[in-house]
Amino acid sequence: MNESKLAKAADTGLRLQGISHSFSDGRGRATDVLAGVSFEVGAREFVSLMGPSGCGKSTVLGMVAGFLSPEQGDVRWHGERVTAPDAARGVVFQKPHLYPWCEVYDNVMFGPRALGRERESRDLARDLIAEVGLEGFERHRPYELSGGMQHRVALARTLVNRPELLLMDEPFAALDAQTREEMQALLLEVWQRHRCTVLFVTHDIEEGLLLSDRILVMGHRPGSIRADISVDFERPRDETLVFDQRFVDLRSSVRTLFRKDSS
Amino acid sequence: MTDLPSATPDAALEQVDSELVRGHRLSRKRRLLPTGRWGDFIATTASLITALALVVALWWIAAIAFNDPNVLPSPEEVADRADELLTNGGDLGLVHNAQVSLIRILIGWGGGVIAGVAVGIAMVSNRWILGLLDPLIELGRPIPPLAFAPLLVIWFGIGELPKYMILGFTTFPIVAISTVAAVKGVDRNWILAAQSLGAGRLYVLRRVTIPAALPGILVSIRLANGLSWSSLVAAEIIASTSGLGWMILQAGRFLDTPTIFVGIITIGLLAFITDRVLRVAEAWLVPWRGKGAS
Repeated sequence: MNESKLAKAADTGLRLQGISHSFSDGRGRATDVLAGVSFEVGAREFVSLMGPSGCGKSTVLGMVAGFLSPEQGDVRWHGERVTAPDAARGVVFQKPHLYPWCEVYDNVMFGPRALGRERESRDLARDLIAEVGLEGFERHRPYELSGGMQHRVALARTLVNRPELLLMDEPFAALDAQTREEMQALLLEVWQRHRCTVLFVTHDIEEGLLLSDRILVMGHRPGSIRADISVDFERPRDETLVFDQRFVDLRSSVRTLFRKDSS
Repeated sequence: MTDLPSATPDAALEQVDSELVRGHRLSRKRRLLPTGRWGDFIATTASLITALALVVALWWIAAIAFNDPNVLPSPEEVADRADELLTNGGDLGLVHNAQVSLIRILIGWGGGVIAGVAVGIAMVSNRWILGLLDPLIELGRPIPPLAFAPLLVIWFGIGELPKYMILGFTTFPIVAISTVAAVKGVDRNWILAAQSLGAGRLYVLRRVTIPAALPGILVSIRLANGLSWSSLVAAEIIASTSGLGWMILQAGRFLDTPTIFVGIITIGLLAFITDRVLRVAEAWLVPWRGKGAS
C-alpha cells in the first residue's frame, strides 16, 4: 500500500474484514462462496470488483448493501456494522427493477417520499431526469421506455437520495454494446458531477478499467481478492481511453490474471 | 423450432418450406380480421353472437322435437315470459328480483373480497397468523357453503345476514389464498430496491407489495364474482321471498319452466356483465399487466 492509499484508508467509508460465506443447497451440502475477503474503499473512490462469473462478487455487493449478512467477518460503513439496507448506500441492480405502477417521475421520487423528503427533492429529481436525458418522459410508464432508458431512470432513482456510497451490480451487463457504451459515458459524466463513492461489480475488464480508480480482482470457488490494481488514468475520461497504449497494456495484464485464475 | 434437425438436406429444406407456407397462411388469416383494439372488440363480439346463435338454434330444434313446453319451452315462449315478467311483475317481477339478488351479491361478495384481501395480507405479514389460518381455510374451503345454511338460519335467523354470509363464504377463501400467493410471488428485487431507497416495512407493503400483488388479487376477485353468482340459488334457498334464486325455486314448484329459464338466463347475463365491468376495472387499475415489466 502506498502513502496515498493509506491516507484514503484513514477516512475510509467502507471496510470489509475477513468475510467468509457459504450457501446451502437445501440438502445439507454447503458450498463455500467467499473465503476471507477483505478490502477498503476510500471516500469518493470509484472501485470495481471484478472476476469471472460465479466468484461471489454480487454476494459481496449484497452484503455491503445490507441484503444479507456474512457468516464470518464484518462489513463496516463509517465504522458501524452493516445489518440492513439504508438509503445512504444506494443500489443499482443489473435490471432496472422500476415500479410499473409508477410513472418515471414517481419512480425517481420513490426514495425521497419514503424518507419524507419530498418537498426538498423535487428540483433534484427534475434535474436528474434531465441529466440522464429523459426530460419530457416524466409522465411515461417504465414499460413505455426502452431498456436503456429504463436503466437511466434506475440511475436517477438511486442518485436522487444523494447516497454517499453507490453500489452497482453489473448494471450494464444486459444491455447491447452501443447502449452499454452510452450508459458508461453517462455514468462517468454523472459521477464526475456528484462524486460519491462507488463500488461497481462487473466481469467486463474494459468497463472496469474505463470507469475505476482501482480494481479488485476476485478469484473463484471460494472467492477471495487476488489483486488490487490502481488505475490512474487522468480524468475526465471518455471512451477513447480504450485506444491508449497504457490502457491496452493494463487490460492484457488483467486478462492474464483472469485466465490464470480460471484454469 | 421444436423438431430435431432433419437428417437429409432435402428433408430440411422441405421442413423450412412448409414452415414458410404455414407462416404465410397465418399472416393471411390475420389480415382477414381488423387488428388493434377495435379489431379485438369486433372479434369478441362476433364470436359471442355466433356462439349464442348456435345455442338458440339448437335449443329451438330441441324444443320442437320435444313438443312439450313444460319440459322444454321454446326460446320464443321464454322470451314472452321474460317480457311479461319485465313489464308487469311488480314485486314478483324480474327487475325487482334481479335487483335484490344483485345487492346480495354486491354485499356478500364485496364483504368476502375485503375480508379475503385483509386476511391474506395479514397471513403473509405474520407467520403466526399464517400458521393458524392456513389450515383452517384449507379445511373449510371444500365444504359447500350450502351446508352452512341450516346452521346460519339457527344462529342468525331468516333475514339477509345469512344470505350475505353464504356468498361471503364462497368468496373469502379463494381471495385469501390468492392474495397470499400473489404477495409471496412479488419479485424480491422490487422489495430490495425499495429498502435500499430508504423505505420501511409499512411503506414497502403499501407502495410495493400491494401494487405488485394487485394483478393476481384482481384475478381472484373476478373468479370469486363468478363463484358467488353460482351459489346464489343456494343462498336464496334460505326462507326467501325474493331474488332470482328464489324465483327459480318457486317456478320449479309450479312447473313453470319458462320462468326457470328466464331466471337462469338472467343469472348468466348478470354474471357476465359484472365480469365485464371487473375486467374494465382491472385494465384501468393494472395497465402494466402482461407488459413484461421488471
